[in-house]
Amino acid sequence: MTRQFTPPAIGRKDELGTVELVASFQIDLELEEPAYEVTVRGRRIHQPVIGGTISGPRLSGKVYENGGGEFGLVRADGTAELFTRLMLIADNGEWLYTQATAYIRQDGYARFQAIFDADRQGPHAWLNESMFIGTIEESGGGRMRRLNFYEAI
Amino acid sequence: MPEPISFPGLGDGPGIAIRYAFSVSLFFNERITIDSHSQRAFVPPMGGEVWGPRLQGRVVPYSGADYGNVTGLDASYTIEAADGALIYVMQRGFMKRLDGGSFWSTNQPRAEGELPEQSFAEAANTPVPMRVRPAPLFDAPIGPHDWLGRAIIIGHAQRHSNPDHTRFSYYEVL
Repeated sequence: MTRQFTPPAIGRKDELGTVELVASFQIDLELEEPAYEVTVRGRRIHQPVIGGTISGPRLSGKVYENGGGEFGLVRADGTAELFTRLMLIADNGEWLYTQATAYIRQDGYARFQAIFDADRQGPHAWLNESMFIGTIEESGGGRMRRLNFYEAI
Repeated sequence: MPEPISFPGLGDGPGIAIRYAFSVSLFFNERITIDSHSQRAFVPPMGGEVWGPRLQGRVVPYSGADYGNVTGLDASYTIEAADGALIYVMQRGFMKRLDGGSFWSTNQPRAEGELPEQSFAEAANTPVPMRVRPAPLFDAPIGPHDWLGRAIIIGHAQRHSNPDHTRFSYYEVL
């Protein structure tokens, strides 16, 4: 860590622009019973997704039942890091991809960040151009989850 | 501590709130692109500063880079907090020019044997209207900064020229 650089003062000008969050849609996931393994990285959770629905003013459709799932890791601090990969089918029949990284904490905090891939020539192309963050609500003894997606505009 | 900023949810569902956490400046003197299918970029920070209510420190010079491509930002680098703690930053994010142009000049046909023109680098001194929405993940040592490893964070960024640098501002998702 020996290389030195002194940032010019210009770099530090405060620039509190805005990030606005727009509630866009929700995905209700149905999941299989989780399976656990203790690994060198922590407690690994394997939990396939077996279905679900997408609803909201900006996207509706369904979750493909063979499309992926949640790959979680319970860390030493008790926080579960979830990596979720899903294939979705929008109401127009188009395939969509999403991946989300979430932190589920023991204090009840459950938040994620996510990106999408959508057809560049289709009506959901806007999904390619945004970062999403959101909240997660659990129900059904861990077999149901609602992800509330907010677009960061 | 700054005030939380709240946003409504859908229908009667829960909303969400964010709170300004800190800002980071990254200074650059090189921008390289590989003319691969993904147009892989290499943009290493010479260094930078970290300031704000929740974290202060510096960017460790040349500790990594943004290795992003046409799909967006993809950076790994190290922050050294004011107390000496080293914090790993993994930043993915969305980036788009707002003037309809492309960041990439390398994806053009070339004569055989000719190397790609790195005019991506020239853009350093050109104002580029762009929208950036970074979503970094951090790994901080156990101690006063370990909240960074437990928080989802969203931000925005603005690129500046003369000298070439980008300022990122980060908000903790509450």
